[in-house]
Amino acid sequence: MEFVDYYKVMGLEDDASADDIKRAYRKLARKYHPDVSKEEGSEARFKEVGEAYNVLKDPERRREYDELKQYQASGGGGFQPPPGWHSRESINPEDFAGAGGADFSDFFEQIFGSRFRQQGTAHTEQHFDARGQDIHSSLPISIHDAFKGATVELSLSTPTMHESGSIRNEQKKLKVKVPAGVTNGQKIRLRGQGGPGVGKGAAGDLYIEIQIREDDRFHLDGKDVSVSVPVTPWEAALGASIEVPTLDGAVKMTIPANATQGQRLRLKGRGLPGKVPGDQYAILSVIVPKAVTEEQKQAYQAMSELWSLDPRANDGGKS
Amino acid sequence: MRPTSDQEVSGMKVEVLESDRVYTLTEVCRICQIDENGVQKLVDYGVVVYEPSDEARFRQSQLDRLLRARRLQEDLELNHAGVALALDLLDTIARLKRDIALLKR
Repeated sequence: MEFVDYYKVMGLEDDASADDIKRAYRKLARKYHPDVSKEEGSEARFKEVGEAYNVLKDPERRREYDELKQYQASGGGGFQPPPGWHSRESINPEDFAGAGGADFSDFFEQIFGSRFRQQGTAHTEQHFDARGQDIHSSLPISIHDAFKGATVELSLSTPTMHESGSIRNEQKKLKVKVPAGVTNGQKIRLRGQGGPGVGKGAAGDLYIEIQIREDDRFHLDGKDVSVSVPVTPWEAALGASIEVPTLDGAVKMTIPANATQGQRLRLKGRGLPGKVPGDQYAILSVIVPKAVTEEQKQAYQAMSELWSLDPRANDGGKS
Repeated sequence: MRPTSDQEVSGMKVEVLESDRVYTLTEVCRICQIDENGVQKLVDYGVVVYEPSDEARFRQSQLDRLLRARRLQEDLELNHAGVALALDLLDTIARLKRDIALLKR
């Protein structure tokens, strides 16, 4: 097991004051909170920071951690707590509320875990009926997976019942088959994959919210997909048959004559599949060619004479 | 709950839920681990809205928002006004990002 340097995790010096620690946590929590940051890895970072803070904010826990850190520095390679190591203190799971709560690294479990396990998390059940807790989680997938459907691995920490009857959180990996045509924010449910029931109560359900990642090329609005398609002025003016990318590969599309910049052309049924499949919109983006050679400049000159166009004729700002 | 399609996956049933599911206040309280007053507070601050036809029900999208609000409140020590502002700003940012992505194409 690797020793985790909680000071480094929070970007702090070893002699940081309690105020420094609090300030660093607040700043990092805002930055990496999974509800705020959609960047990849922010959730893992948030959990890491939360764990570090929960150790360093408590003077007693911090002292214990510092001792271990010194012990670690004297050894080498992987980390094992000293023989006979026990945390002198029991951790209140209430301290670990929130998204990063009750979801610790192996390293943390090894140091502070034993008491915490005995305590379990059964307290969360007592107000409610005996049915297991429903668990809500989210699953980021690509737009291509949303289109084709995919089996995606989801790892989450779920309360698990043990032989002793205690309930503790365990890291669990589930293979989730995401059906083709799911939309962003859609929920899927896995029955019985939530928290265990108490007594004869049934297990809770696992709800997964699908999060479709931003794609460089395809943009989603519900089941509809839009793609920007660059065209030349002559393709736009004269009409053309061109190839455009869809989630199902390139297809031929006809551009009508006198198409305009920003015009949306619909490819019916080429969006995300479903009972009512979405459409794809090709948004035309007219590329203005540079006049470099003499002939090209002449061509532009000829155009200016042919059209005598004033695109700012209706411009209110004109003097 | 009305699943729109079921698929058997290695013994596990995956159900796709309709996004217009409506939850009772009791369900919402249980899922969010919050009492009725807490929910009402977030309604008062405009974080979530009740189903227009029914004063004690919430649509799926509102439940999702409530869960987000709760996480932000706990993790970032936000008060009600703060969380309302944060969610509004996050919505705005998401919308602007979408617009920018489209304009960039």
